[in-house]
Amino acid sequence: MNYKWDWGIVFTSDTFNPLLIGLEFTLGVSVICLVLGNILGLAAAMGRLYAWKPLGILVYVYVDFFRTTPALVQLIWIFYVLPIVTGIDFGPVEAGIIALSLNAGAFLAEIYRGGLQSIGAAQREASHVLGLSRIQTLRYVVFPQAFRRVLPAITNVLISLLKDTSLLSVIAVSEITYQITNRVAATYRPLELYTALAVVYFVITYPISLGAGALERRLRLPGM
Amino acid sequence: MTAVSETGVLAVQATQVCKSYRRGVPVLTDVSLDVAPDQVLVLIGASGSGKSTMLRCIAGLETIDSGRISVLGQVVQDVGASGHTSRSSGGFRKGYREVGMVFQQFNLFPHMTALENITLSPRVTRAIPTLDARKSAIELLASVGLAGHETKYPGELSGGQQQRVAIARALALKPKVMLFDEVTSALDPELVGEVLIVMRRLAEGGMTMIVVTHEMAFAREVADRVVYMDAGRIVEDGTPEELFTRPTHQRTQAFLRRIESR
Ligand SMILES: Nc1ncnc2c1ncn2[C@@H]1O[C@H](COP(=O)(O)OP(=O)(O)OP(=O)(O)O)[C@@H](O)[C@H]1O
Ligand SMILES: [Mg+2]
Repeated sequence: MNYKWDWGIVFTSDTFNPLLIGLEFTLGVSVICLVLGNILGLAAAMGRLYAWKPLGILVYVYVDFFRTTPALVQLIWIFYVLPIVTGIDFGPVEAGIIALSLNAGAFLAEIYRGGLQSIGAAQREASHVLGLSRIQTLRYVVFPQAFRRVLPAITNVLISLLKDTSLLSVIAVSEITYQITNRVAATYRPLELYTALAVVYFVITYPISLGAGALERRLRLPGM
Repeated sequence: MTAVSETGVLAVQATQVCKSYRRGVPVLTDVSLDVAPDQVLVLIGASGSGKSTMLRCIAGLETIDSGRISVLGQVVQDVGASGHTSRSSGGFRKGYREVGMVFQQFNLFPHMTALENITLSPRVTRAIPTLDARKSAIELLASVGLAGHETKYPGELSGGQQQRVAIARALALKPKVMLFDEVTSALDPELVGEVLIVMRRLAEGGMTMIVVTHEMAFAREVADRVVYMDAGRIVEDGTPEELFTRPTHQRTQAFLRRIESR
């Protein structure tokens, strides 16, 4: 190996400034998708567990479709095909948010469903004889317990989601992978720049994993 | 043994209750049971005879196929022969408020402290201010011998302590009728006594109780009345004295022999 590394290329404003803009997109899209994905996932889980049967089947189709097809294909399909099918035009950022939210929502739906189901009938019966309504039982009894159980799995989805925002570079969303790819094209320094990109992903992802671990410890029940 | 109180209202009145889980397999067949206020009734019977199911129907955890159940004169379930539930009575479901139930496996909420377990329902279903709910919960915990355990989670308590929290939790709603389904069966033998003491005190305090148990000493000493169930029917019904010393049915005799020899 007589490749001459030139790390200076990473530490120039020509790399830094686009990277900062990219970070805004990466983090912004992640947060929006996380919120939307959770709402969707929770609604889907409840739909499958408690709603009218046909609605449950619809949810089932959605969840399984998005879990068994690649996120990249979903993204491209939503970006190129959906506008034609629906006649609604949306930009790459919107398409990205829709695709990643739907994708995360599908995984979260299964996680929430498993979590909700893992709280057994005994807890519901105890709630029932204490006069709690179904909603009160969900809110005070089932949910807090289910959330503790699914927290590690939700963390994994969140981390995947953050990393999957890199897919948006293929539809020219200006997130960090797109920015770095552009820089590579301009400088022919892929080794340094992609290494730096990997480090950036690590730096934004790792605290999530640490934070989730801390939250898990905080929520851990004494004696359990 | 169907003594009626001065007001003439029975604590629990079950009339010809029939129940099956799967079609064709009857679990309760024409069970009629009148429980007077203040009465302590011990329900015994072999495994699968329908004791839990009977309690669960009274508590509203199961719907009955036919018959009628009232609590303190309020109809909670009334299913005619056609299988339709009559909801015309204003008392429908309201009577359930008067019923507390304690389970074999405690069923405490593991993510809440002893105090939170007890205050949850008073706060959210009766709109009792948190401070008041806490105050009565602390008193209730003391009354079941658990003063100082307020902030412990169920996982930090022994089985006997958990079951006493569960009793306190049910009592927090000031029920008129308490149902106990084998509440000492999941406990280590040395912890059974502390729960029975609480139940005995409750009985002495005038609580109407229906108790499913295999603790025959408790039945003998505390019960006003013992009912023996077999295959979904009430076979024998009398004072502890009558039932334990001169059971009239062969099945009852055989059951008691089996229990005593354990
Ligand atoms: N959820 C259920 N679904 C189907 N069958 C049930 C259900 N619960 C109880 N059974 C059946 O109903 C019958 C009566 O059960 P139940 O639990 O009331 O008996 P039990 O007298 O309380 O018995 P044990 O002493 O074992 O607790 C049994 O044959 C049981 O298998
Ligand atoms: Mg039982």
